[in-house]
Amino acid sequence: MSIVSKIKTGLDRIILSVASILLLILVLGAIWQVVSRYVLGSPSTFTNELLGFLLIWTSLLGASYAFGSNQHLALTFATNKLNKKGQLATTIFVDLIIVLFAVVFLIIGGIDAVNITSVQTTPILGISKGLVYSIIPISGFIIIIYKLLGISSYKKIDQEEGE
Amino acid sequence: MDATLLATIVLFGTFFLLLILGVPISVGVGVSSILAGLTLVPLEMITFTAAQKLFGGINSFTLLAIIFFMLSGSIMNNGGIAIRLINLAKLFVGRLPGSLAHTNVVGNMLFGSISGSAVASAAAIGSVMNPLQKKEKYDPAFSAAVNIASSPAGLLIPPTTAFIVYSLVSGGTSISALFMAGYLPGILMGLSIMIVAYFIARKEKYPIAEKVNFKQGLAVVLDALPSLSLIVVVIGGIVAGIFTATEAAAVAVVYSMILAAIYREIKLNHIPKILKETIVMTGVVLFLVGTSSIMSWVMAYAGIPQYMTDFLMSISDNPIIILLLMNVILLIIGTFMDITPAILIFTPIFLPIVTNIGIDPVHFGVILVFNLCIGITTPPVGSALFVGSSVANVPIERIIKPLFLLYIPLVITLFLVTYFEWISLFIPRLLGLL
Amino acid sequence: ACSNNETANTGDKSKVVKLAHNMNEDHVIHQALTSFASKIEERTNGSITFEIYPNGILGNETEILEQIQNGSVDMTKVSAGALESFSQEFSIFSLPYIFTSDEHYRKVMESDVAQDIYQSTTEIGFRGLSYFDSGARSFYTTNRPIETPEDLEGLKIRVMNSKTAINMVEALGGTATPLSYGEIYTALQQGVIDGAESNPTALTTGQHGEVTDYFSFTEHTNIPDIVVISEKLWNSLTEEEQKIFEEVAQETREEHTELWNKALDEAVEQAKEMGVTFNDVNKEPFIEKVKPLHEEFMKDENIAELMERINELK
Ligand code: NA
Ligand code: NA
Repeated sequence: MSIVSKIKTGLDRIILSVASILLLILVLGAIWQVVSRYVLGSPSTFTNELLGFLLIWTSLLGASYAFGSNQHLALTFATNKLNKKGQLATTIFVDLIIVLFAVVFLIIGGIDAVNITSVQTTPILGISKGLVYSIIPISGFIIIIYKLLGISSYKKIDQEEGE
Repeated sequence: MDATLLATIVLFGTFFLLLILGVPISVGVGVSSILAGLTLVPLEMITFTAAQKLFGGINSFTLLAIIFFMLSGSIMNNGGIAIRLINLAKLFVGRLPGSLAHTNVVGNMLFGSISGSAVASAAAIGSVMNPLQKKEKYDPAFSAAVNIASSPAGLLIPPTTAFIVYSLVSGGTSISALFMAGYLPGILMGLSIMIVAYFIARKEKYPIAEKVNFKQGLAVVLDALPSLSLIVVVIGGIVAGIFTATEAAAVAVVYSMILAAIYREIKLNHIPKILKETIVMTGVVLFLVGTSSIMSWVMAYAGIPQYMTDFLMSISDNPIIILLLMNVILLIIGTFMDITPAILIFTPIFLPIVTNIGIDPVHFGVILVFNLCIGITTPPVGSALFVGSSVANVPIERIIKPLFLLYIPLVITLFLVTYFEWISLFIPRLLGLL
Repeated sequence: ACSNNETANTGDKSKVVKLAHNMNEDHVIHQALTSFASKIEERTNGSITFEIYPNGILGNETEILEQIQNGSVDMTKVSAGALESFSQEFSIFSLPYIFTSDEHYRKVMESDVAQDIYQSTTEIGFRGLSYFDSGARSFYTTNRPIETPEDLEGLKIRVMNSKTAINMVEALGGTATPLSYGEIYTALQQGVIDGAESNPTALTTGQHGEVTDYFSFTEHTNIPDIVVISEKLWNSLTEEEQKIFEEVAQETREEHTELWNKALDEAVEQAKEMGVTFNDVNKEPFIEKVKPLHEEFMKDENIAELMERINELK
């Protein structure tokens, strides 16, 4: 296994493990909310806010992973009609757009958002809202790492063309 | 140029351009929103607001239901539930000419109802039904078409994530009311396909299944009962007010785990695969929800919904014409766009228009989802079409012809649902949800 | 680009103020803010104009405050409750029975205590300009009226997502259930909750009167609506313009109070037609019950000082 695919496998494994744990907490937390209301008669007051935040973390980790494995919904009926060279060109273009998007939207915008919201404490848990927001720039960095690791696959597409 | 018009052109122009070039829809939504936003405010404002809306769009307790329904759907796909529901469906409709086609439709309605996914249903039911039909000399293109056309019924029959997404973007339309409103249209969708299938089967002399005796029938019902009671628990729990839609979805996860344990079809080593499937689907869908909320912010900031309303109302203020126009637009959108992004992007534009002409938001939710259900079965982009074609192992070109025949009942049902609001609103009204 | 865009095109020199809020266009708040905008446009001879974004189209209260911090929005109206997570000093308004009467409430709101609280957020990019009366909040319930704190025992009461509100309901013996506003109607209808707390207009604007049997005037909190202005805009105004903003805010408050009181009376009448029974309450036992909560708040030096100043205005 090449060093690149080793790094990618490691990164995949970390993200999936963290997201799986968060997913299980989400299920248990929602069940706890039902149980606390009906069985214990005192509704849990913290789950609503906590689960909302964990949902964002789980989704953005899942989204980052899906960028790594090219699983986001996209239309390919037009680009599929191109020849290998055209496909390589559009693949590079798409990746560039994704990187641009990650830099402007997730990293720059995300860091702004972390700064602006760091003055707020969340109403129920009393934690810094900036902390919750930090997953946005984090996911931006993960996506960029994935796209950098993916560059080596361009060569493969190009070589296939040569065959 | 008028600022709103400029923003509209930039927004949709870059969006469709990026889409054609194969950029992921969520990224296309995000990038075109930023560019359109730049025509209105400086860059540092749009980048912050984009991040804020991404966060705010996902930060909703209601959306948690989507993760849970995906997880329970994934457990069910791996849990031996499909075959039990197929046996049950066969018991109901097996005595009709072309019984396997009807079994396929009812199987999709039952399985789709529980799993809430047209794609999962087309795959799970189709992969069992298509080989059986082949053995009985059905035209494989016809059986694939029936499977594909009926697979979205479960997106209307509750529980269904399509209505959860709609509830959220429409500003809190009652999920219970939407769920109840989907029943009749979803059942009609299935029935209308069965009617056409009936005539084709008679013409082609497709066989009728053998009679089953009472004892066999009872065994089939008992075997399917635990799966069916999931519907009772989830929908009953929501309508009776025992739990919210989100909590019901969490209950569905636990219930489907218990089912899988009873049926003994899920092994421990399936669990990472199920979790991974759910995390990817969640990431894809909720990221789209997040980026779409920046798009709706930009549209609101630029005044696009108002602009569109004025434009459409200037064509006609007759509700019949406006609904007709909307159905045409939504069918076209559906040909290339998946359900969730289409709901997210077009609800903020269309909802103000229809409420303006006195259409109930619940009724409109059903119309919208019905249109987009047809969309996922059409080329060039249709998730149900792709999956249905691949499990049947029949190329799309061959499926198109029989599929076109099935679009006729689908579109007729769509128009019935559009113009007779009681088809949607009868049950929610009966239950006092409206 | 929005509801007031006809006023936005008065020329390149005019400063355009983006004002966002989350009330619908029929609400008295929208009327008051519209009047605020047109008066300022008039008195500055069009050198300051407004674009109003109603209905929460730009976001919820917290999001709009963040957009003000970022600079894409200039002004808003939010409940003082929404400001709690930005500055603890605003949480004082959510403390039950901090005001002993309507006069006491008004006196405080027009004193420099309120001014000091308004300015507690200047460092993070905005300040309070003025307030609108938002009525006293009371309990409304489905099965029994609330006459004493004991009546709240075992009842699930919906509260806003606020620590102070949760603590208040719990201090009074109820079971606090945080839910979003949009969920209240079905939750009341289906018995997920037994009651909620707000002013009487909640019965009509949110249609909650259809699923409520009793409204008990416990009047436990008086949480004002705060008109918020960004520091960026405020500091860019000339002294004269700042004075106009303050004067007009005062005038529109008076207009609003009149409209608001009328709206409250109408809401009560309408709710009675919906079948809601209203009852007055002896507040003494309630005030007794929340004393520990006041003591808890007094532990914070800043808050303790503010509370003393508020008490002096009784
Ligand atoms: Na369903
Ligand atoms: Na399609």
